[in-house]
Amino acid sequence: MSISRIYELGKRSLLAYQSAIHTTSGNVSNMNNEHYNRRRVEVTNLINIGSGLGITLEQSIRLRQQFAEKQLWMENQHLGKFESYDMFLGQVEDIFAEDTAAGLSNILNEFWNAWNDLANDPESTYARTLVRDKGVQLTDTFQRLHTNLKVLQDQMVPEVQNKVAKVNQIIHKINDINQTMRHQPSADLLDQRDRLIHDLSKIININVKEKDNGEVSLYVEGLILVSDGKVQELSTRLTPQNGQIKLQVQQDNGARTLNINSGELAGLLDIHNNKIPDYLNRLDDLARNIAESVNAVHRDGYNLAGITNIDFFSDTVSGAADFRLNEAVYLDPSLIATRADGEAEGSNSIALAIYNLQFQDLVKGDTAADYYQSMITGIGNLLHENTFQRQSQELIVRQLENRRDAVTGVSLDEEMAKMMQYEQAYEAAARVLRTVDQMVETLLNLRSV
Amino acid sequence: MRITQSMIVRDTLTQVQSNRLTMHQIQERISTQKKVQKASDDPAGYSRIQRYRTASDQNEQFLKNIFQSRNWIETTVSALENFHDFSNVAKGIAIQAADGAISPDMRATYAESLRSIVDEAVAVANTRFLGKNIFAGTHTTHPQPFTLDAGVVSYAGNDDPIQRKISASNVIIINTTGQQIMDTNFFTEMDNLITALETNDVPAIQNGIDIMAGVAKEFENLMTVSASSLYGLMMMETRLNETNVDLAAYIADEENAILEEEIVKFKAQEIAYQAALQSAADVMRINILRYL
Repeated sequence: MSISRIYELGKRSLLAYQSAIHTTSGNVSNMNNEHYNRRRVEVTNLINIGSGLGITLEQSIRLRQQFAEKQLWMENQHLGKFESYDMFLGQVEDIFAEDTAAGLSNILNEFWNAWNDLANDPESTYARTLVRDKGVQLTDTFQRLHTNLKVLQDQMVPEVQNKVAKVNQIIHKINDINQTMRHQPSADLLDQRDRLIHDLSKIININVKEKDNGEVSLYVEGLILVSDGKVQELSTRLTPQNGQIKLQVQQDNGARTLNINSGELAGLLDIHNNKIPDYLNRLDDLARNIAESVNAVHRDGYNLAGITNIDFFSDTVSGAADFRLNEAVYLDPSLIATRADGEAEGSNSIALAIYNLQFQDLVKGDTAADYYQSMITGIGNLLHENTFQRQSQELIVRQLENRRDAVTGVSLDEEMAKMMQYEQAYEAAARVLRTVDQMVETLLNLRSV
Repeated sequence: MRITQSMIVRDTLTQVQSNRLTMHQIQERISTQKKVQKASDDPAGYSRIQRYRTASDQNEQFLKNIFQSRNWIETTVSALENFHDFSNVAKGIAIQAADGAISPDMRATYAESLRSIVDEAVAVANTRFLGKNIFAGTHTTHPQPFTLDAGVVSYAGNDDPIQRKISASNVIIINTTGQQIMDTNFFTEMDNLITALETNDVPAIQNGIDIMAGVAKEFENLMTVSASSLYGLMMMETRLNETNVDLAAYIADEENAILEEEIVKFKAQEIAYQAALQSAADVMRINILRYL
């Protein structure tokens, strides 16, 4: 064995441990990077014919915990859905503002009570003005609720468009990474790719298929997003359906509408397309029924001057949006009727009959107050359950992340211990070189003696 | 299981965050003193609270109606008492005037007294309560439902009831109509008695004693009807008040935060929060670097 061979051995060791420390320092610097998978160095014997040539380093290996990763992508979709429900249903509940005096149930109560006051004082102008004012308050509240729900619904359109734009952005990036992976695989690219898939999984329900070379294909309910160099972008479309505007996500070429049942988009679309229209419809039903029932009684009534056949609310109320008082009554509250045909000014039969409407089943077998309350309770219930589900989903996701990190995360203790280990080995290798150097020097001195 | 830096940080943050959230919620309950504010806080509880509240609000209206109705009926009863007294006074005069020894002059004086009673009775019949005629049926704003003209009283009101709603299913009539006053024949019999006195018609005067007693009896009957309405109102008032006390208790039960309980919870949560922070700080500080 020649001395130069020991030189070579020492050099290789130095380089190997230098590289190991490089990997370790890479791990340490990414300690707090959630989407970083730690690398590990594999030291192997380099076998030369006959005798060992020391060690060499395989490329540092990126660790993965694929099972947890895949589950995480699945569970993340549910979390995304719950989160968007939480955010927007919370806003719906805030719009109804039932925890304040401006809530519709309180306003509705005050409206009926004003009729009671008028029934107690049918001769009074003041009580009529009060009924008019409470009527205006009621219709204003209906209109406010309608407008605010509509505004919220409209605001959700750009929100969905942003999410879809983000999906498009991500799938293009993933496609680029796929291309690069073919000729230049790298661990950093995989980190980046997994992070993108993680982000995407929160937005939309995706299926991920991974090839051996690290390329991935992404699908939504069987439709391709990214596969084999092809990218299918998504776009949004607004289509009128049963008098409502439906928001849909489709393939950009318009070929197919996507069935999105999970992820933030699922929550957004459901609230935009189903929940808010349902609440709007119920408000419309309520407004229309109140207007029709009050008008039917009121038309039969007479005011103090004997004028009859007057509607209290506008006779063209089709829903909450155009719920308003009859213009004539609004301008002249003395038109408000309190008595039936042939009765004197002190009779309150009509006012009392209108007051009594609150005890009658006006809307789909329910009193007006009950019908409205069941809607509010329904929203509250949905939100309450959703919050509960979101919390447990957060727990599931957190546990999966921990499970993943148990394999792929960086442990400082471990890295520092390894660093010391590698450093000592590096020192030892250096000492080998120095010893060899001395050996050579000794050898050269021999000749000159 | 390997424990990594990211796991420690993630779990610590979640714990601290969840403790913070709980503390925030308790703090909100303490500051508003309410444990249910929105339907989503407790949907079942919220729906019960709303139903209690609606019932309670409706009862408040009924109580208001009962209060006004009671005042109306009490005014009516005191007017009817006046009529009752007038009838008795007329009967007393008839007894004295029926004595054959009474001079015609004396009878004329008696007749004069009866005339002033009739004047007064017409004024009582035109009694108003809160600006409304109480004995005019639903002609509540008629300027003068009863008028006296040449000894004859005529009634311009109607016989319609005035109704008040006193519960979800009960409506009561609060008025005694002018027609009912007329039907006692008080005014016609007074007129007859006055004529008898002025014409010294002793048998007619004697007859008037029983007749006026009968009229007084009629007013007693009317008063009994009103009194029993009053009694019914008071019963209803008591019942509604009791119901509302119960409802208020139910609402408070469902809705109000119990301060002692919340403060104890807050303290406990505070300890948990501090413990989480302390242990997190310790765990994060301890690592191999301290020993190298």
